Amino acid sequence: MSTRKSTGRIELLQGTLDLLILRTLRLGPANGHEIAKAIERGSDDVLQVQQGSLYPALHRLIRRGWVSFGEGTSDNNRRANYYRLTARGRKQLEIETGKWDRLARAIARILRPAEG
Amino acid sequence: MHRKRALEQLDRDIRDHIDQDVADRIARGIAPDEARRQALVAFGNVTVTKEDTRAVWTVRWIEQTLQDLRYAVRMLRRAPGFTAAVVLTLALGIGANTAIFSLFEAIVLRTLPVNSPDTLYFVAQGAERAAPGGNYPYVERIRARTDVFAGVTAYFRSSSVKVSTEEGIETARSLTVSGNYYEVLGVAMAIGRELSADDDRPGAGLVAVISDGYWSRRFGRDPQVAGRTITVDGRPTVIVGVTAAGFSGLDPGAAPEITLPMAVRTLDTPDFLTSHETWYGDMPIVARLAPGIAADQAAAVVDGVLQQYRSEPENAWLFANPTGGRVRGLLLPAGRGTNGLRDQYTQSLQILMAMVCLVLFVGCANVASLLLARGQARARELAVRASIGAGRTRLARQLLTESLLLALLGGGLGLLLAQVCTGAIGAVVATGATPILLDLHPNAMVLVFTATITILTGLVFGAAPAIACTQVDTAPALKALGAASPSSPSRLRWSTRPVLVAAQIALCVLLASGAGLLVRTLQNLETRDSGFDRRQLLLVALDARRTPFPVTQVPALCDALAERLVQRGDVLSAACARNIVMSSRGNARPLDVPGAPPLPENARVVFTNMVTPEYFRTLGIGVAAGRAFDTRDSATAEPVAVINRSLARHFFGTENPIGRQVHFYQDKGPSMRIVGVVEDATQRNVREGVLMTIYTPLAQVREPEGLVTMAARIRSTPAALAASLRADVRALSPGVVVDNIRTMDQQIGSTLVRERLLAFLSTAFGLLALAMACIGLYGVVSFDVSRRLRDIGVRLALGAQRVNVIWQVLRTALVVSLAGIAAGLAATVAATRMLAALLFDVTSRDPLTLAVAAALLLLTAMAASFLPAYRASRIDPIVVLRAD
Repeated sequence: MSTRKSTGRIELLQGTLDLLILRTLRLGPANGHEIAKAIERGSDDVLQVQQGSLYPALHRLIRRGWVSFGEGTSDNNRRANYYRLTARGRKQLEIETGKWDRLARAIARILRPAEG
Repeated sequence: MHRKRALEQLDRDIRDHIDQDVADRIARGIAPDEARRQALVAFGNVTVTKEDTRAVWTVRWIEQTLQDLRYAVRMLRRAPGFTAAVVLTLALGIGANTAIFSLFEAIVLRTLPVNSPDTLYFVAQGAERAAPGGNYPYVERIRARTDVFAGVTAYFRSSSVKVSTEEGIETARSLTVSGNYYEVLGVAMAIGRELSADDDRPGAGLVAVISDGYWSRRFGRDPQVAGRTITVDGRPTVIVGVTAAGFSGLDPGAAPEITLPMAVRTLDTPDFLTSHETWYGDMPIVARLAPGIAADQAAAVVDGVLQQYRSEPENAWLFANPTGGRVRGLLLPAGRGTNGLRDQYTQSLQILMAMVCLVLFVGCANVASLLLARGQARARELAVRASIGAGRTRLARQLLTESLLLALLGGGLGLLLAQVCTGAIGAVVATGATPILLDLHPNAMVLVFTATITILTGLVFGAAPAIACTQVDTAPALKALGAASPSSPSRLRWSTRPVLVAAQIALCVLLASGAGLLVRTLQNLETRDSGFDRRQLLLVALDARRTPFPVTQVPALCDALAERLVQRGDVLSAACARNIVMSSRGNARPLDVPGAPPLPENARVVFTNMVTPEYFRTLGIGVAAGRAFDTRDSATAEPVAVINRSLARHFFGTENPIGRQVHFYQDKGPSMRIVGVVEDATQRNVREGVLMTIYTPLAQVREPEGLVTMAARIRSTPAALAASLRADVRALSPGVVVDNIRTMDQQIGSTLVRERLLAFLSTAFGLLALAMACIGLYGVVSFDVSRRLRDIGVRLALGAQRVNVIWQVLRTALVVSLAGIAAGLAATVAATRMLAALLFDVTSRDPLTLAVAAALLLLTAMAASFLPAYRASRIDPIVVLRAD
């Protein structure tokens, strides 16, 4: 519950978190901490991730077969567990991204009616 | 899979995550302690995270079902009266079903605890009706056919032996078996070894195997029992093993205690193993099919062996069938044992099962009714849930879960009740002249049955409310101020209840009629005139077989004992007979009457009995012509006979039979002279009635009879005489066993065990259903009154008589009841035909019985409705109208 601390940050709804995770993993396998950092960095710190909520989201994605879970080595050669995108997850990412784009455009049209 | 691995690593992942975050913050220059604090805050609640993650993996419907269950338990605890009523109703219905099914399973369905029961067969023969039987040489011939049979064994049906104890001689139920009996059947021994072919040789040391029950009863489950010697029929016998619990032979209902090798019969009948002269109907031959052999293949072989056997000249007398049909050898399935008990009880048990099923329906109707009423009361709650998004399916599932929970509680309690019930029934049938000994502990099949009907019951009575109560119109329901919202009760809800009650009443009429018919049958059987005087008659078995007492002295013993008892004043008269009335003992043989019109052999078969002179006087059987036996008719005097009226009429018509000579078919001895005719008396059981009977003096039988029954007409109570009887017998004759002391009433009762069971149980079930229907009717009428409270109040206020109010209410009840009774009578007329075979002297559509049943239901229904009606008439109109 770190809402009070950060003023500029916007909280994420559950469904969108799944989407962002998929997108992050598209760039390569990562562990929990790396995913959280990537999302914050990638959004220029606008999006604040409640770090604990990553894990239920990750497991939901594993259960649906879009993310898989395996071992690997980290930068400093420690064995750690990594989450990676599956082929199905890759496809799902495209579908979801498309849906998100359409949604964002529709809302934008309402909020800012076309000039001219 | 993924799930397992992912969850296993979860703790470590989270730890790594936080550690990395801490490392990052330290790298940015934050102090280690502060870094850790910040990292933990940034992460959030670790426990909650772990829980949430795990929750992702739980199956959704399990979670929902658990939720439903918790809610259901809460709901039921909030209405303890309702819950108790429902659970009790269900327990009674399910319990009754389980109890009867236990009996059904034990007698009709159960397969024997032997290896591969489906490959075991009885070797049988016959023309129209096949029955097992044989003699030892025949067994050997079947055994020789190893091409079709993997093993062949035989046994003699249960009889009794005398076992010597310190207190005296007691009888035990025994079985004699061929040496390979246990091996062929595949029965395990709990202790020691089984009998082997080696033990089954004439001259081998006498050994025995005892049953688990006998081991408990006599030896206190002593683990060292193998090797102990007991005296059986006067001969020392070594116990070599104890059979495992659960096996009680191949005759359901009999439970032999001591099993001996068949070779012991050579001690009484030296040529038993080789003689072709006798065919034993009570020696079933059991065969196990060889692997890969089909039953009809083996049956054809058996037929061949039988025909071959009969073609030999010395065996040609076998199965000389008077009707001329072809005698075939065949196989009968032995997996469930012999048929005797099954044949006797199958139909009765089926009827009882149908009855308890009906009782359960009646109970379910009550429960459904209660649930519907309660559903209406919960309309508001359901409306609230519906309005926040619960789908109709979800609500229905919730209600169904409650119903199933109620059903499970009812089923559990019912199982306990059934235990008590079955125990009682088992105890009742296990006493008497021919005890039926059953193992009625709940086994897998009974439990499966109970579980199945419990779930079905829950679904059946839960379906109606689940459908009806979830048709919720949220707005009106939410706006309704009280429980009674007369504006929009679901139509299904309030018209179903009277229909249910009418159905209950119909079923009650059916049950009451059935019970009435069975009770009248019992009454008819018990009071039928049996041709002798059954009052104050004591019966005792005197057994001199295989004792030191010479059997030729038995008639003299009878006379001496009778004289002593009469002299002492304990009895008015006493006599002995080989085949006492109302017992199944006795033989029939064809009779030859020179000079009578010729009749085919099977029309000349008469029942034979051997009696002492006082027999007819003691039993109160009148002498119609000539004389009864007396002291002149001794062993050395001329052979005489007394016949009963039926025999006289059949053979002699209107001619006088006194003085005529008769003899038995193919009998080599001298013929008998008829000296008297006596009145008819029922011989074996009331249903069979009178048989043509010829009596001969006990003193004149050529093969001395070791087991006789003494009948004594007593002055005082049976108990007084019973005590002194053993002492008297011991004084007169050492070694003779006094057994089975009972009154004639008890003897007759033991022939009517089945009828008594049917009458009692059907009445109990009928009353149970009646009670449930009354409750149901009471509930419906009360509900009706509560719905019309305002109406009634207005009427009373306008000056209506209270009596009229009562009549108004009763009228509804009357309509429902009459509809139910009409339907019930129709069903009865159609259905009671199934009872016809069990009835005696009363038809299945007996008008009197049906009328009484209908009247009983009408009275009961009116009584049940009266109370609510009366209460309705007593309401204060002001109170009701003001409350509006």
